[in-house]
Amino acid sequence: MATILAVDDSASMRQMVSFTLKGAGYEVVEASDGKDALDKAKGQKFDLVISDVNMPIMDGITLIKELRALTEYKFIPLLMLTTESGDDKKVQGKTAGATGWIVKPFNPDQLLATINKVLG
Amino acid sequence: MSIDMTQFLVTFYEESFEGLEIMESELLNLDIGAADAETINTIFRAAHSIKGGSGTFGLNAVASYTHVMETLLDEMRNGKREVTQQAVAILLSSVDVLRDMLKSLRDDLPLDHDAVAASQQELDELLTGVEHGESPSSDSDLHHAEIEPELEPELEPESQMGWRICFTPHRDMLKTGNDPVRMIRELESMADIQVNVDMANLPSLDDLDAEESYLSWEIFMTDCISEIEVREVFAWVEDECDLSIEPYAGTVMEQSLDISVKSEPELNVELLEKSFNLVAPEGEKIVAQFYEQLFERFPQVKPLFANTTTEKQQVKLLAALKLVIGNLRNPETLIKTLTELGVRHQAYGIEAAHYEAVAETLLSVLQEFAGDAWTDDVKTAWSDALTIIATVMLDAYQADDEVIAVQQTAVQPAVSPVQKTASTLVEEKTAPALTTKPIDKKAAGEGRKPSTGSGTGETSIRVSIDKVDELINTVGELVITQSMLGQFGELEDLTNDHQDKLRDGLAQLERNTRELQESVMRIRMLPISFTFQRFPRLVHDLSNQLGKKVELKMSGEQTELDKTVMEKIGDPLVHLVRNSMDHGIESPAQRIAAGKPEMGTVNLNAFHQGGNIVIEINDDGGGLNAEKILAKAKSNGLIGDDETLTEEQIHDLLFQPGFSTADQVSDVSGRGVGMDVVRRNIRSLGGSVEVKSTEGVGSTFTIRLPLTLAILEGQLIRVGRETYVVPLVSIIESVQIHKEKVNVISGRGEVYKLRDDYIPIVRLYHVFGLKAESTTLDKGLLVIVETEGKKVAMFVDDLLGQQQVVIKSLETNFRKIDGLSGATILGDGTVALILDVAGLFDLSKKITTHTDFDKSDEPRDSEIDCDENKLKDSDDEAVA
Repeated sequence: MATILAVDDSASMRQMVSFTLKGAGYEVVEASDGKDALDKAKGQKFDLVISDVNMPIMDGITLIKELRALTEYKFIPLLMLTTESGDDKKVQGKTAGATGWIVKPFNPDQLLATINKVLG
Repeated sequence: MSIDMTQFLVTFYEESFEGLEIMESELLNLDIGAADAETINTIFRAAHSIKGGSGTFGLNAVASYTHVMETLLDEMRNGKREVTQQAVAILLSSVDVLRDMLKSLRDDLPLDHDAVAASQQELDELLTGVEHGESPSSDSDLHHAEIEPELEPELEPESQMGWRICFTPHRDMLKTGNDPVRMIRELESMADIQVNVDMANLPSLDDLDAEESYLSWEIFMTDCISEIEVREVFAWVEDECDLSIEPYAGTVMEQSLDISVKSEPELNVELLEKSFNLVAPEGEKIVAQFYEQLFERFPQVKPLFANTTTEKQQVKLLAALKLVIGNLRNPETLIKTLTELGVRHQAYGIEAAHYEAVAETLLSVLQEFAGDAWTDDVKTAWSDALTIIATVMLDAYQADDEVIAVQQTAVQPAVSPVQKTASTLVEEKTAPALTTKPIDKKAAGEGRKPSTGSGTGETSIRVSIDKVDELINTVGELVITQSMLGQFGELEDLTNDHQDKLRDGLAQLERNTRELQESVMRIRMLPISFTFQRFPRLVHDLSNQLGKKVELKMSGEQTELDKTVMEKIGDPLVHLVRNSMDHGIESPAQRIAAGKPEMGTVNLNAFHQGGNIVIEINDDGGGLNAEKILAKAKSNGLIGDDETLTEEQIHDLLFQPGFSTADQVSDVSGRGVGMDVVRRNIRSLGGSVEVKSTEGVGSTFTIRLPLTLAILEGQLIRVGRETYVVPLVSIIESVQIHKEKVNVISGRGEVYKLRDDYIPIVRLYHVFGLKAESTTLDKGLLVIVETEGKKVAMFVDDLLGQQQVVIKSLETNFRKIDGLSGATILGDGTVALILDVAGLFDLSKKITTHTDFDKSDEPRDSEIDCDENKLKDSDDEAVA
């Protein structure tokens, strides 16, 4: 089963994402900011990365840019968690190399449907 | 899948309260006019997280309230809005409102909706710049978060209409992790689709860059799918592809038939049915004959049937024929069936040439069985039909080739979308599109479920992993010790050698137990910053309110303290800080006049000292005015007119019930809660509070608290047959009594002269109404204890050992008794009461002391009654 890296500075969001995806059989590794995520991604290859945008230390956009620069993440789906008002973030994220986004607030079913679609 | 979202709420509340604290302290850090971008971003992020979480976990009221805050902060962050004093004040008050909202949700408490509405209006006005009433835009913003998710696309009325989608990914679309296969597959999950691939731009293998995308697709789709839904599929790649979506009149079905019509043959349904019905009764014979002839005429096809038997094939063929003829009037099913067949036959390795062989053989066999009925018309009908069938089946092949092309380009293994289309063409019309649907109403029920009763957040504690590791390590050692000691249980006799080892083992057990205890206690310890963090806000608000300039300096925030003590020390600390600002720090004018800097300072320090934690609240204000205090105390009747007091005693008057030095009771302190309550609360924690002050220079309040409420280093003492525990920290020394040092002072009873001090003697047996071993002072011992700067000599029969005792509350198990702070169970199973030294001191003052040395001083019944009344009196006072 695919392994997913879930990045969010909010512990409750991480819990929710992680619980939902694990329930669907995915392996999930959590990271609490962009830097943490980047370190983890370098140590282990993930099939998908799902990241919050606004985080301390390293934000989601920078994380995506950094990941895309790595050979092993060149084609890996990188999803952002954005809010409905974050159109400029979507554009910034896409420019940085994001695959797509999931709009907050979302429920577990929506999350899972998107992940399933992306991972086929 | 339905997930109970309430399970994440505990964490959500916890982090939200943390977020609010961050917002508060960072808002206080903001320099008005020259705000630091990172500070604003930190505040924004906290608001943003609370909004995101509350929306996700269904706390919609919180989400919509936070939305306005977030918008304001976002504008500040982007430099679109100035950071004004007013804006900061409004945001600070909204932090309070938000905190109340979250608390009320968490604990299921009633919420002051008016306060929320008022605050929201304030925020809205700030946002829109409108002074009164709600402008339409603020209104829409207000409910933005609730309205937004209602993006349920409306189905278009013309359900027959389909779409022609031209999709040309830009060359580097794959580099954002987007795979065209996913989008095609998603479309396929929504409706019937027909995919044509355009490989015109595909370069030769030499020129092909495997990381780029060269293909484009033309996709026809039917069914009642709205354009919004279709566009949603491509939402992520809008800027990475050329996409056109135009209405297409017709169905996939017709389209594919159109394709088949291109090769001219037409289906003569009536003739086909009629002729097939004619031969149908002999179907089994026909198919048997078919295979016989097929192998005879085309022996090269025989290997293709290596994995099956002719009998099985006969059954299959007959079924297929019946299916095809039976569905001639049902083209959708027909196409689907044939496509499936085609896919399967491709897998078998059947090529185009084989179809011709089959058609030729089948026509010949049918002719044989139909006899005279096999007219030219019938023959043409069957011939055309077989051509169409072969075309449709081979179409499925072609589709697969396209997919192979896709795979090569995408450099990623993927299931053929069209192959999957073939098998699931009509199934799964559910389109789990990525639209923002409103949150499940059930989960959105304001998520109150989990925390019935007291706040769940307060019962959890965050412990650093180091502490847990340490605990595990200690338990590991304990297990080793236990197994070592366990060996002795099996021995018949203990040799000297064994006894030594046993002693070692027991020593080790003692050490393990102590370490374990320490580790566990440490888990309950939190840095005092948890309590301190509320003060910057408090000082900020209060200095505005009082018109004073005050700077707060804190140190020792990392000093650890038991969680329970921490929770209970908060209010007394707030009171003391308020007191320092209100009564201590002077107004700016007064300060300048006194030659002090305009800005006053309040220091908040915490540090460990012995087994205690000490918290100091220090101000550089006016200090205590001894004369004023004395006058006040005299007018209140706290002390007699002719009494002379030491400076310490005068300062101590502050803590007497009903004392206030402010000439006018201000809004800030003097809310009916006096310093006496502060002292009482601190004492109930086993701590003490005292004040030192120099007039004109400032005051320092010092609070001493035990590190924990659970365990006490105790000195065991004996009075008669009773054992008591005295907290070791309060004992200064123990002395044998020299008769000549005992004096009786009028109004203070017996005192003992120790060096230059006169220390009041408290006869414990008297206070507790016991039958003591010795009632004459020279036969027992004096234990000198100190509390809040005052010393008391306790007259006891004997000193026993020192040990750590686990404190059991008397209040919860029995009731509060003055002079006692709790009880404990000793090693031999007996109960020992723990003395509350400070309380004992007050108690002793109320009890008439007897000064006879020789006279037996057994308490009589009447005296005990009297004492009990006094106990009761003091109890009442404590309650008042």
